[in-house]
Amino acid sequence: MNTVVKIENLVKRYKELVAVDHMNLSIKKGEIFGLLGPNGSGKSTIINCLLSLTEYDKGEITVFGEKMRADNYSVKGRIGVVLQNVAVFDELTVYENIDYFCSLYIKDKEQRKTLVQEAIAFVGLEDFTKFYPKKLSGGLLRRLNIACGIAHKPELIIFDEPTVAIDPQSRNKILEGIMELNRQGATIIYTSHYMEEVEQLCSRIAIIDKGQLVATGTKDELKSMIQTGETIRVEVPELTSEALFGLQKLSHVISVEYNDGLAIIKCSGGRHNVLHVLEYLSNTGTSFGRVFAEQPTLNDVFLEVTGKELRDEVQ
Amino acid sequence: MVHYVYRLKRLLRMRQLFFWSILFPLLLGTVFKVAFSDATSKDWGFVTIPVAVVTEEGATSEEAFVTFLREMKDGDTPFFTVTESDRETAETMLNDGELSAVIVMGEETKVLLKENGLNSTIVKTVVDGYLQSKDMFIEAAMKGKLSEVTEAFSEEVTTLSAKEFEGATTDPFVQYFQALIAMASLYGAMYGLMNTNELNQKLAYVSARRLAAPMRIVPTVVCDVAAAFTIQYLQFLINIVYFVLILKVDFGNVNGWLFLGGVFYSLLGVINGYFIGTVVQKSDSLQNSIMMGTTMFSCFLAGLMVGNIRMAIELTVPVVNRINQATLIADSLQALCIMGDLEKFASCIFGIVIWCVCLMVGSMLVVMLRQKRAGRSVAKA
Amino acid sequence: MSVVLKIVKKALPSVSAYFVIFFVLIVIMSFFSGKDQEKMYQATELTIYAEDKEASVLSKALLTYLAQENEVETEYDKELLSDLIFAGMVDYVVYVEDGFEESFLAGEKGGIERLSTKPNMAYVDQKIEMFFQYVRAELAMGKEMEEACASVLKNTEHRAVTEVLSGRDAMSTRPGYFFFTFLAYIIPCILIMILGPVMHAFYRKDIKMRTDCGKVSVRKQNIEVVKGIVVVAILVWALFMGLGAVIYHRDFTMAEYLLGTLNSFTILLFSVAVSVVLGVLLPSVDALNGASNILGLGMSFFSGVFLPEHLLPDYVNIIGEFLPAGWYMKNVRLLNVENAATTHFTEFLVNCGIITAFAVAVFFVFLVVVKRRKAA
Repeated sequence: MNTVVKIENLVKRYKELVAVDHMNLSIKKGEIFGLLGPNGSGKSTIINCLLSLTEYDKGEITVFGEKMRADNYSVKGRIGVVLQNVAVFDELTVYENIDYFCSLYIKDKEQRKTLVQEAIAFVGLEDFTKFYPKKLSGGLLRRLNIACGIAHKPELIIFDEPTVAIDPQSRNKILEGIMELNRQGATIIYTSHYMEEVEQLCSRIAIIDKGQLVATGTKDELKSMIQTGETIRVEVPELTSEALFGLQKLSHVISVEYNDGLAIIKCSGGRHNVLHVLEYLSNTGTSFGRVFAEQPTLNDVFLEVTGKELRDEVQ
Repeated sequence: MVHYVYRLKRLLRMRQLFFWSILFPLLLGTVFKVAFSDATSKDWGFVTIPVAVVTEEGATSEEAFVTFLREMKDGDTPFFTVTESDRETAETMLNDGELSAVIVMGEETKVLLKENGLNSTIVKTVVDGYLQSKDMFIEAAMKGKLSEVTEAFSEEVTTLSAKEFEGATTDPFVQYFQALIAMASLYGAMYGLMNTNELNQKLAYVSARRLAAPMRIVPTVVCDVAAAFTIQYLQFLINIVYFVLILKVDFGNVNGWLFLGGVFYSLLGVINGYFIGTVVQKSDSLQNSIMMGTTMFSCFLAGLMVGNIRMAIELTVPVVNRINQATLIADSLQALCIMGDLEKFASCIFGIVIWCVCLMVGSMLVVMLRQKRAGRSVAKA
Repeated sequence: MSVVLKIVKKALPSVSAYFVIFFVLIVIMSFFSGKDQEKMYQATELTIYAEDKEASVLSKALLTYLAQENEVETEYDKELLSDLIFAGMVDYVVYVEDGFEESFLAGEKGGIERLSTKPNMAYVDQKIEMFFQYVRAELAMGKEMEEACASVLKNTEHRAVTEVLSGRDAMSTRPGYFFFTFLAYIIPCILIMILGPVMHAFYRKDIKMRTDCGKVSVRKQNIEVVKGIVVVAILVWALFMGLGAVIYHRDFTMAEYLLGTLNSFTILLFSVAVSVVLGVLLPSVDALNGASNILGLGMSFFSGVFLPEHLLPDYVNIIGEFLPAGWYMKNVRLLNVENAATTHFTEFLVNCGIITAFAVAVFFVFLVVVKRRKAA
């Protein structure tokens, strides 16, 4: 059984708003599966449906080969959840919080004790076990939030935007932790609107917009889906219109823009594109400064597929 | 079990709840004790009444009268301290509150009082009695039966014998503590309120995490109720122990049934909270003020501020006492500990049980109705 | 000022509950309170419960005799009677046993039982014994029982002439009395709950720092806050006074009501001062809630708001001297004295002055706290 989660034809409406529109997803064992989309695109709704926290209008969700229902406790026991907002009790200490949430899964006291210790070590909260959440800094709180979700060693862990509003250092720690969990064998579902994170972390990605699945695949697959293969930026103090025209004529070049001494040349995925461009510039006697070449990003993918910037949606 | 233990820990660590449900009744009890401790003993027995006798022209047998006054006694306590003085001094003393009454002996006997009240009534009654006896002797003398009447008067035949009050204590101030126990029990609603609010996704993220876990909802709710109930019952025990053993309030006959009663008082409080939390969903502050308001009002009717009010209601609109939660609690305490009336105790407890059942069914109906109306978009819980 | 009103608005739901309770309380209390009395003697009516198992001429005469000046009840069931005795609402109980008249005529002792848990009830014992003495005397004069009882009852109508200096009963009071009494409880409670959060919000360290950095001068800000507080306090006070005037205008003369209003204004001043101090000192709005209850209930108990002064032990009355509500209650009791407006005017003003002094002292504490906090 290689598929951990299978979502078929999922539809979820909130009155008139269609939050999830005929969604199909399949997540395989051992993957870090990224759900990428702007805020309000339906990521969290999919997660809520997946966990049977909300009822949905249509479709079928299978987890670990079983139909997912609110009372399917054997399946629920194999899942761990780390939600976007810190979900811990203010009145319990760090240790007690982890122990409490772990106890919802693991009844055996001794076993739980080791699991909780491991989780604390995993997120690096050893020095804070007796602290109350209110005394923790934002980053530490996030780590506690994660520990509460993973202490019972679930096979499938869902991270719903775990890095929102957090400092870069803590973010990196969290991302490293997720990769470590994955190495230890957990399948991960990771939702985010930060494409860099998703790109860095995920082995497979689904891009979602307005409740619809826009594209899915590995990042390379996604990138190969679009025209742009490489973007070259060259600082050119002066570019004649002939030279501009000439650049556009080069093979693999899709478009050339020239603004304020910067030429942006978009190429399709050929090899040695930079070399060709620079050769052409020196041949025409055009002087140039620094040169940058970029591989396409998921933002480019999102831009080409939806016609809008992913970033625009981020507040 | 773990759920129950952690629930208990959490509830105990909520400082505001702890204050209201545990510290506040103890504080109030202490205030009551300090305010009332002497009130009863001060008022016990006969408090001698200061009077002055003024003799004016035309007075007869004033000496006999003064002796008569001085001989009035309740056990060893004389009814009156009698000063003999002139009218002017006596009236000044009366005005200054040093005397309760001035009796002027003249052609007719006159009683001067500062104000109406029990002391005035006593003086008046005694003087009236003296005058009436005198009438009787005059009538007898006229009929030539003076010796028979004198004999009848001198015969010392007491018709009255004292009967003891059957209650375990005669200190009416216990009523305040009964109402206080009722208040503390009803404040258990805070825990019930807390529980419903968490279930109703006020703490959406935490409850999502709980719902995502392989835990059945019914045991979870049962654990929540059990934890709230435990604290509430503990609170009840603490109150009883503190009032009876430390403040030494004469609660009457404290026995095992009381601890059974406590179970129902605590349950009622917690269920009240569940009901309010389910029916009123607007805001926390509204829920809290409704809870506090109804509790305080209910306790007022049970005598938390004015001890006698419960009996006043009993005489005018007794049905209120059969319905009012705080009165049911206070009445059951009185029936059990003071009057030793197990039957009435049982009927009060029965009233409490009926409340519990009604409120539970009420909350469930409301939830069901609401779910029906909201249709499928309601979060599964 | 608008900010102040916004914060006040938040506290309204919980405060309105207090308003409602307050008015229900005084309405109920008024319902149970005594009536105003003429300037003439009126016996304090005891509630006597009589159980007459015999219903003979003699026992019936006894009940008639007792009913001359008291309320005699015969219909309570046993359980209710016990509760009433315990609550002090039945003062005295007489049980006339069967065969009493016979044993009386035989000159035997006993035959009637009495029960009372109240002080000074020995005078009723005396009264009853005296009644039987009269009957014995009448019988000695050769009358039949029926005739004897009738003439005793007739005889007992002879009463001493009585003059009462003060017109009002020491125990019973006018309904409006409770209105002014309970103000001593409700005003501090409500003001702490309304104004406490305002002060709390404005003097929280972070907000204070932010407002201090703002363009508006500290002085101007303070004036805004003070304006808000004054408006709110006056509104609360006016609301109570207005309602009181509407409901109780018949109970008081104009002068009395104005004095009561002045008195309540001083307690208002004190309450404002306390709210302001507590708002700055206490860590949270919840703590303010608790404080308002403790202070309101505590001060009221020690000042005789809930229980009449004469029922309280002396040392509690002494504690009352150190509480503004204690002085407030002195004034309320003065209002109950006839013609207080003319006879006790100075005393009244002095008491008001003392309460105001309390308010000033507490306000001084506030200034010290604020200054200290600034220095820290």
